[in-house]
Amino acid sequence: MRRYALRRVVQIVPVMLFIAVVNFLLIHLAPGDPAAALAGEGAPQEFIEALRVDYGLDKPVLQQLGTYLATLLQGDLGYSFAYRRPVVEVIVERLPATALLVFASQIPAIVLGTLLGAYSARHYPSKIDNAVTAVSLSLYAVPIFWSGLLLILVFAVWLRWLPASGMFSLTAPSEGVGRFLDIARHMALPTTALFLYSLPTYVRLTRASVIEIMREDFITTARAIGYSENVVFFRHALRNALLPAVTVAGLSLSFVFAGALLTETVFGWPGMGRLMYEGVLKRDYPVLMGVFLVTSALVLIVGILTDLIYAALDPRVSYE
Amino acid sequence: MSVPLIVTEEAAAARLNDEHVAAMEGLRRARAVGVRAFIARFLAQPFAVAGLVLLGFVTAASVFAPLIAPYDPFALNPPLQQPSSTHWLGTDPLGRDVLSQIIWGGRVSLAFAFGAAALSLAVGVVMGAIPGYLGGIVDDVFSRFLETFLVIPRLFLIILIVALLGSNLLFVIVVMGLTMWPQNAKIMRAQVLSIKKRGYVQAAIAAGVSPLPIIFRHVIPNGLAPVIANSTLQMAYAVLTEAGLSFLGLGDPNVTSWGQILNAGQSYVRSAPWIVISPGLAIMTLLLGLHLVGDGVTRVLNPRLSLGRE
Repeated sequence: MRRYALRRVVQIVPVMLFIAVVNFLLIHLAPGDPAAALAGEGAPQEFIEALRVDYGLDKPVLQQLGTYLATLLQGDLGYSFAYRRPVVEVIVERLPATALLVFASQIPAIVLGTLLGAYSARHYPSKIDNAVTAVSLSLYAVPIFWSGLLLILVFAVWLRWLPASGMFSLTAPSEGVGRFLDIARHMALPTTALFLYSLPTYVRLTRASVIEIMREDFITTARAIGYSENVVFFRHALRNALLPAVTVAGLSLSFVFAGALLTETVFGWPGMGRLMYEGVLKRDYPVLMGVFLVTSALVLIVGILTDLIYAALDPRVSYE
Repeated sequence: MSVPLIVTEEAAAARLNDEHVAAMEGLRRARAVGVRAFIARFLAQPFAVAGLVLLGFVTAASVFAPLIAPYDPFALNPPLQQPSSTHWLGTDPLGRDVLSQIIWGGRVSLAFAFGAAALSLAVGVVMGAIPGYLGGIVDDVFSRFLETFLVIPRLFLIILIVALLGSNLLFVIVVMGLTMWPQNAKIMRAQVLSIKKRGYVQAAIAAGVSPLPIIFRHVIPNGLAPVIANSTLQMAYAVLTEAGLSFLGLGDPNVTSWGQILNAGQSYVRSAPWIVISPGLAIMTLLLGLHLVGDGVTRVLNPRLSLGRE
């Protein structure tokens, strides 16, 4: 177990190296001067020249790559000219908003999704199960940026119940319960969009996992012993099906981040995804590369943690 | 029945050849039966047929776009017109007819669905089969590479590439294909590991057939099914990602696409909500079609899986 954990943690190295090399290659493949690409659009000539010296962009390519990697290793993701601040600072500032959105939407989605999936599987095959399947399949087909726009249309434009964008109102109190309520009101729509986007994944995962388990021999055995169908389902099937389902959920964080990116863009939510969108608009390449790197790292770390927790919880799993 | 014990070399060669031809013919017939059975079992599922109808609807609209679109999708009419008898779905902020844009936009979505998924399928199958078949250190190194690649958040990578290198339609299709294939390669590799132990592959190896012909004639055709099932999901992913990119303003400005209509309309949700409603419905139609067909294919190929109604 400890060796497995170590091996998984060591895996971070090649992935991060790979991403750094991709970033480096893209700077060089971009049309025009690599220094200009590294600076982002609108940067003055002196800034570009300074970057050329800092990153050794007039040196041989391999040496440049070395310099770039060394810079990254020091935690330096570059300087955003558009924000006139180091990229790391800009990203760290945006992380909490994204984290808030992700937690607020994923916890209910996981709880409700697994319950609904298990319920559907319990009544498989039946009309109820078909209905759950049809609804989750339809939700799957809804692009999150579109459901976001519809939520704005209904709840902000027509009903005027909730704000359409941002995280705070200028008129709301800046602390205490008032501030909390203000953020909650702003959060409601983007959280709902991200919740609806993630829900069908958890439903389908759990449902498939439970139905698969229900066909295993030990379930037949439990039935043969004479346990009631409820005991078989809750004590034997569900317990064994939930863990793998939730694990896959933990491993699909990159899918959640993709959803968050689009949601934050629609709702002007000041998180990391919105930052990426602003980076696209401003052609702020250092920020784009920084967000890509940080997102990958987060996905990787959460994936490893989920994997290790799974291995610790499920005695059937043995990693040499 | 007497079998001649002494045969000339030519006769032996001729007989071997005859047997080979007969065997290949048998294989072809078996596959034809398999394909027919597959189609029959697929069509027996009402959900899958519904998906096929939705797909057919979008495809027909795209193919006949020049005939059925009431306007040139780039023509500038009076802007922000409400839906009316002249503009069924209204016009956008520049005065482009929304219905015509949707009809033409289907072409872009389908180009992504088929182009990106086909590229991903071709590359993924070959890159999964060859290292998987050869095994050893090639396979080890390659598997590590696949694992590394699969961890990377794809949408962020695609946005970065398109933002830096340009949003030309063909280029983005290639980028998408080249970022999706590792998933197919992983599935193919798992297939190959089991197929290469089977009798017919072992027989081919014993007969001295070299690895590449074995891979392409025996291993790949027999391991393709789950990769094809995955391809329908990848088609849906490509459609969704194209729409997302265009929505973020990273679409090819020379074409009309559903995401671009949403991008143009998003600032006008308050004053002109009709612009954003219909393109979303179009995306949903295509995605639902692809998912239903994908589920249908998967269920035929793997009856143990229960994704829905049976």
